[in-house]
Amino acid sequence: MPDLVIVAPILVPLVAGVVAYVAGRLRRGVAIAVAVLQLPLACGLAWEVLRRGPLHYEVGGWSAPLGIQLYADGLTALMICMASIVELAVGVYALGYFEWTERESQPSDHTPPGPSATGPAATGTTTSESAKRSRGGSFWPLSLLLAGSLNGLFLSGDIFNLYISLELLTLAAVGLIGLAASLDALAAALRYLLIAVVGSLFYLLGVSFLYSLYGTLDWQQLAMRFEFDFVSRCAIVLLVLGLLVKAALFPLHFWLPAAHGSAPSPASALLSGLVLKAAFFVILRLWFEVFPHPRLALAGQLLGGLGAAAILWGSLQAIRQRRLKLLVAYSSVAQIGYLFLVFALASDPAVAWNAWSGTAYFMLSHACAKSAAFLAVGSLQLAARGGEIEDVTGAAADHPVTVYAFALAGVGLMGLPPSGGFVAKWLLLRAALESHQVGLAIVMLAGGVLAVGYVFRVLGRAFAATDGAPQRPIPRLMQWTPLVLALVSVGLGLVALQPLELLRIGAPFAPSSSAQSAGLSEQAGLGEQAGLGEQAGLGEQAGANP
Amino acid sequence: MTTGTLYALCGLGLFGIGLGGIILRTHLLHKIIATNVISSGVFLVLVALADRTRGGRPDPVPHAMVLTGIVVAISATALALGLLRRFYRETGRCRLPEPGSLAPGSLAPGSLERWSPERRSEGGDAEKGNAEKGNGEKGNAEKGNAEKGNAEKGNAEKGNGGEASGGKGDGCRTW
Amino acid sequence: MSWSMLLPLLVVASSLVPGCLIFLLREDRVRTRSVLNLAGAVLKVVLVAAMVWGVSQGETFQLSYPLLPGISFGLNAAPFSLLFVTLSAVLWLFTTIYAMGYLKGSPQRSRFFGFFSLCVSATAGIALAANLLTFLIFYEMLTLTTYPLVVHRGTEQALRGGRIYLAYTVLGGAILLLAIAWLQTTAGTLEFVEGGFAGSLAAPQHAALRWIFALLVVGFGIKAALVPLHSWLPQAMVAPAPVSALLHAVAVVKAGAFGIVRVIYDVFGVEFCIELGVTQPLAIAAAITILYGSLRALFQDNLKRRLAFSTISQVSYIVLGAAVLGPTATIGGTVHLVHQGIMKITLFFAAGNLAETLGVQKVSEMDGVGWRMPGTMASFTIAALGMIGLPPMAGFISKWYLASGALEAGQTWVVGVLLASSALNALYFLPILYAAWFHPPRADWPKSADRGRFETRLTLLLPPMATAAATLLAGLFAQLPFSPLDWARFIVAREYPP
Repeated sequence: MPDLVIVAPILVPLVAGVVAYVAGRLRRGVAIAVAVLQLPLACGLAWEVLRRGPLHYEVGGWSAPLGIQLYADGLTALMICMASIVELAVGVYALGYFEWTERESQPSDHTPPGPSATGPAATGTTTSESAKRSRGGSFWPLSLLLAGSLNGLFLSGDIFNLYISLELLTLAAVGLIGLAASLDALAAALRYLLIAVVGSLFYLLGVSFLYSLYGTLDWQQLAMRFEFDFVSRCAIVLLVLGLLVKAALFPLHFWLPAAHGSAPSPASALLSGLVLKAAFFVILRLWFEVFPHPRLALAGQLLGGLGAAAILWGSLQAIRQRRLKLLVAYSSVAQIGYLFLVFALASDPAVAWNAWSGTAYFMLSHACAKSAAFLAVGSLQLAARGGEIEDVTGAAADHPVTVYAFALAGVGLMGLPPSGGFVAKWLLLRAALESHQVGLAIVMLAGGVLAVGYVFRVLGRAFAATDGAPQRPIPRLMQWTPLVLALVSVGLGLVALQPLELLRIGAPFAPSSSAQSAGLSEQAGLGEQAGLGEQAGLGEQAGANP
Repeated sequence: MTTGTLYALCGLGLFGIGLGGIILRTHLLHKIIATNVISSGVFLVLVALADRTRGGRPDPVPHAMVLTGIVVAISATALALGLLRRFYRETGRCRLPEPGSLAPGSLAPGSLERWSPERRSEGGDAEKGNAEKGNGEKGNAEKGNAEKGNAEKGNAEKGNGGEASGGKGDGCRTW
Repeated sequence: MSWSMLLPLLVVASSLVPGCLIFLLREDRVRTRSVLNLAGAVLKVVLVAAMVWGVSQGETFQLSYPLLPGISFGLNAAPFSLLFVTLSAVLWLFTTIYAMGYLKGSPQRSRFFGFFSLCVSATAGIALAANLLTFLIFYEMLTLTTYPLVVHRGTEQALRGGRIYLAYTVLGGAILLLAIAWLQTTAGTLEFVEGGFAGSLAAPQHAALRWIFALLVVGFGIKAALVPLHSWLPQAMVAPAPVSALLHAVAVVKAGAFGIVRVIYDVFGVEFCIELGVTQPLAIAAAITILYGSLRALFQDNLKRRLAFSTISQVSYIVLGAAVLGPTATIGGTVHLVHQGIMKITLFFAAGNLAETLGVQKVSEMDGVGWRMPGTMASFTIAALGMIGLPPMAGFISKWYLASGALEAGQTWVVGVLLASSALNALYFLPILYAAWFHPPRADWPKSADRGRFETRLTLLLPPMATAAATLLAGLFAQLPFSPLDWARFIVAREYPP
């Protein structure tokens, strides 16, 4: 059984993807069934990990280095849960989305109505007409491929497998962007593909360097053998650089807004919510579990600094955007910055657990919140017949559910309590303050304030009164799915203890060790805390008995 | 200097050349070829790694990696060529618009019109100035063939991707 | 889960659940919406009454749910919490009735009442919060849920007011978050304790604690509209009258003042505040706010703006009472939380009635309006006299305790501030009263709405009369058990252990 638990999350969507490719009309059914199935599979994996600790599995019984190693710890399980939640929501949403877009004979939410869509460009139009029919259909196999490769990436036990799954992920992502019938999407897909492939090749070169030095691909063996010589350092640079491009860390984010902004909305949700996290996940894993990270403190500071710059730059750009989806896409640029703060924060062992677990939780909550935001925005712009922020004027009157979904997703993005984003931000903030990196703390808070700025740019228009024509009705699936996903992202703040417990399994840092290394002062503080609690209790009782 | 080191250095050299190509070239086909050059470079490094066992039997792991890597590279190239074909058919251009022109302002309703086939003559690619709407596809066949030639040259350099590109080459022929 | 844990949760949920249900209602389901609203409001009052009775009998109501290691979501019905939650529950009931009348026939009522209920839930949560983090959760919820109310009309002006409101309060929230995280790092706990918990920390941390205190006061001071952080309040006056009433009397401004008081008493503790020397600057800031608000109010012709500046001034009495640091002054400040609430809500109800029924929005248009709308203006008069501090109105009690408390604490200058402020209050309220009652009424009012049998709709008329009566009664019967004054004494007896 444990074998099945660890293999199923990869195998089920991949096989289903192939099936869906040939299944014709049934592909929607197959995809939704798999999306529904994935959630219990992910929970099963999390349960196994909680029960038995980190899981290892050798595919086909072949051992390293030739065989494929699978490995699952708490972080893996959490990421797979994250992916399955988002994929389910996106799948359900896509049911409504593609049906509706095909019915409305407007191939993409990004193609503005006008002469271009119905113009006399005979060849161009027929191509997109014929492509349009299959377009919605291609979403399902591609999203299943994406799900499978994503799970494969999270479960990878060796660094070469990570490369393969990264590439598969890229190909699926490019395909998803290309589903939009607009030229922007096409150009963005091409640009993204080229950049991502180059990024992967950097990564692969780094992998080959490491293999030449240590003769293994298994990252746990690598971790044990790792030395800090020149070639290793080159390898680290190559690996991280390649992944940074894919994770779109400022200033390598240039491809992101166009790609995420022009894809069909369900695809944007997957890309921003999950695909970015995949590249970051690899960096996180390598940095803290393979590389000798205490000796990379300076590089960590650099990455943290870039993260801080990303928060400010991305947020300011998001505020400046005129198009809805670009606003949300730039918000991703900013939110990715929060993730990279961990490399600066966790260099202090006393706060490493808070920073690391906060970052992992940030990935989870941002995946839900950002996907919900993209889905909501997708509905809003279809209803409003246009993708400009101005177009949503008055949307709160016609589509309150969608507007509230965006608002709740915004709560997660802004990191306001009690959302999951808040819990993550709280942990990061504590880490920053305890390691005396006040500058980073202030950047985090400023990022939150700026996020309010861009979220409420949309909400402000939505609440504005309008005397224009009422907006188009949209299917209920497209209204309620974003809301549910946004509620999940907010609810994550209330159930943080269990995911954090899960994260402890196989984590590179432990909360207890952080308390120990913090030394006596921390313990004294804890003692005082307990003492105060007692005093408070006594005070209550004294007051209660007059 | 052993053969292995020489191969590895050559591989790094190819990597550098490809990287230069992808940054400096603007033609999309050139960029796609450049990525193939890069991957060839990486594969060469990996092939050289088989020598790390020194004298004995070659290490099989890098071979497995190269084979897998080639498959991945082929898929990526195929996808890139497919996208490029569609891009070319819709715009008559083989160069991506400047990143700036993908900014929100220029994505306004005019963007499709600006790139639509009947306006190809206004497009940035001077070599397609003669292309008309109806015979645009045929008119560019020559160009397409020339590019295909380039593609094959690129694949020859890589040594392994020929078959895959050939498979996707069906698409190029319709240019 | 026992009754004592459930009750605080129910108090919050009694408006949260109806609020969420109201969102789902179609616009034309007026009756269902009214029933839900009123049922929630009445239930909340009943639950709060049960809790007040229980606490007076020595019971404790608390609930704790761990959010993160070392951090919990906690509700606790401390006496001071109860004072605020009672105020908000009772005034919510009146405001709901008023809002039903005020918004009759206007669009987007489901949205309005939905957010209205959420807003009150947030206030109840703020009142009952057992620690700073829970406080922050509801504080941010309050910010978010009041925004749609402020921009309810959807005009450009309303949106601008909303933007400014949001900018200020979100900044305040971020500052609070920083302060709270810092405090958690320094002190290791965030739980409110009567007498404060920061005092037990070692001397080297005192400098950090001073900064934390300053950040907390700034964070709360933005909502409490302390000068110079007050500019959002007059801008937010574009909101409909029931919202203004809510902002000024029940929820937002009060939440800020309440937060400052809790920081002084239940986080830092009175004695430790004296040791740190942080309250004197706060008292001075409050005094400046009192005088500045009154002075600005003098020159406003728009009635609601005049009331807004008056709020800025009056809310700082609460802060002043806490900052002067003596039992008597604290009683004065605490009781003013309630008294200011009922007086100011009366004034806003009355101003809303004038605007809604007669279209009168400016002080200069109010000539003789007292004879046209006697019930409304009588209520206005009682509340205004209370604001000035005339006996036997409620406002007199607050000012009396504040002044004698200041003398007790040896801070004579505070008495001067209070006298000056009262004089200014009289200067900006008495001309209104004079014009309303003694000038000849105008022949044509800017607007004449459907008013029913009385001077205006009954749902608009009754709430101000009820709160005006409460103003009078709170002053007349201040010595009775369960009067606001009595409860304030009960609180102070616990904050200042003998």
